[in-house]
Amino acid sequence: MSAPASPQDLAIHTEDLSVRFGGVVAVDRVNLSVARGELRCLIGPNGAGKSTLFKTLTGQQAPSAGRVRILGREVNGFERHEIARLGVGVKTQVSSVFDGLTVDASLRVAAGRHRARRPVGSVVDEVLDQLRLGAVRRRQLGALSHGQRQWVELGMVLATDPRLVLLDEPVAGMSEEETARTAELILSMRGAGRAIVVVEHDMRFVRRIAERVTVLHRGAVLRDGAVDAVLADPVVRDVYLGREEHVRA
Amino acid sequence: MSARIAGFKPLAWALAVVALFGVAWLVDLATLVTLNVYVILSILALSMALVWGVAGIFSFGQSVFFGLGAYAYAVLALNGQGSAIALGAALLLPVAGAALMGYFLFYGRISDVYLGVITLTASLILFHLVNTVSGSDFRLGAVALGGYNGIPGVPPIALFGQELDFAQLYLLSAALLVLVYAGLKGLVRSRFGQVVAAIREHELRAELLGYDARAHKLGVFVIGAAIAGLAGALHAAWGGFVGPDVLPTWCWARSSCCACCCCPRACCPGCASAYRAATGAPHERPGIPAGPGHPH
Repeated sequence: MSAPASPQDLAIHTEDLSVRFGGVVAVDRVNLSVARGELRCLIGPNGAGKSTLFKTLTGQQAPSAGRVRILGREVNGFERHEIARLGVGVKTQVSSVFDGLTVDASLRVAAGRHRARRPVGSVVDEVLDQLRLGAVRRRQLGALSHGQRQWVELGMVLATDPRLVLLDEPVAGMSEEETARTAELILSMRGAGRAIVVVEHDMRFVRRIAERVTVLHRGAVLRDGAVDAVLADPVVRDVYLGREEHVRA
Repeated sequence: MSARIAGFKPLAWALAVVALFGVAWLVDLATLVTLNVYVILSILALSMALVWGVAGIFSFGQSVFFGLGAYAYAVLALNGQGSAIALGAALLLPVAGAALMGYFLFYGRISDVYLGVITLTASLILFHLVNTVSGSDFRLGAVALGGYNGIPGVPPIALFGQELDFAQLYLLSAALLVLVYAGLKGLVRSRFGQVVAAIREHELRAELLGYDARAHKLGVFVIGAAIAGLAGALHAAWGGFVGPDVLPTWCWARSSCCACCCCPRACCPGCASAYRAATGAPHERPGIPAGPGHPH
């Protein structure tokens, strides 16, 4: 292993990050480091704090304590668009697309924030090619299938050429075939030092794409490591199956 | 079929513009004076179509900016300032008001029906405030504000040293209506307009792409206020009078009816988003199209 990277070199670095809602601790002193170029999956049972952590990383939720560093910049107090402008692409859990706009118009709006300010038209054509959605480019998002809307959202993320991609349950509600294609798409997004963090429930999907996973449980990091080792860990298996003596001990 | 309709579109527009101006020579003066107020309220309606229809900002405040424009024009024109200065002030005062109000609304993340309630309240506060300034002490320069009696004797607009008569004011109003419409069409098609439409559709998504929704909404609100202010100034010059009746929401209601009659396609996205805001209905609710065919 090489020497550990400094916080400036990491895509994500949190220090004792906590989020509380009244008496409920949703995220409990989480220290998470994701290197540039890494593909990391964030897993955990319902209520583990995955989505709250995700929202904190993307500026949708202010932390109660601790620090968040994204792509070398401390982002505590940043607005959502300010975090995005650092080169962060986000896909939310419930698909958030511009229902009343066409696929083309939506991608054009996204490509307007391309990191290298490349011409909008060529970026849109490239993304449509990669998504294989050229046939529906003139259609309104509201008229597309669930899977297509998810892909267009991924396409909007791609069109900004992000250095860090955060995806919250990208295959929720997708068919087996759509899931396979989404996995392919996510793997094709890698490269050029781009880090990808995927929050996901579907273990088969996690095995398909991830090298390293972080398991959250009750707001804290339970395990962190190579995907096979972590998923074979009896404590992790018990957490998913609902037997929690190991965790309480 | 749609290609054939598209082919006729420029011709239809040209005919509409010719009719808009040509009517000045075809109807009697009384009818023209009535038509003029429709044209002026159509400009106000366009500001509504932009703010509500395109940007989805559920504002009842357009009548405030209409009223501010009318009062700014009346006070400055009666104080002996030229029409250019009075009309300039009729744009600037609503712009300043919208920038101040919009800053707190949008940077305070107020949206949906709450924004409607606050802007409605602002229009009522201003209405009651202007109603109370009826004593002789309430003057701006040589002009008594007149409270509920309003300000009579507002001078007409003068162009190149020549005061406009009713027919000329109609032609000026019609020209401004065409200019404002064309300008807004360009704005809606511009990158800024596309981003504003995207923010209307999904504000969080637009922000996660790196767009500052607050600044875009403030920009649209301010542009809408300037257009409403222009309409207000024309209205004051048309009637030679301005009173507090221009401020409250009946004026807004009239303009919104006008907006929906003249430009229903522009209003539909706003109506749909207002419906969603009021009922909590999701975007996908059947029968409630999420922004069908807004003009872009």
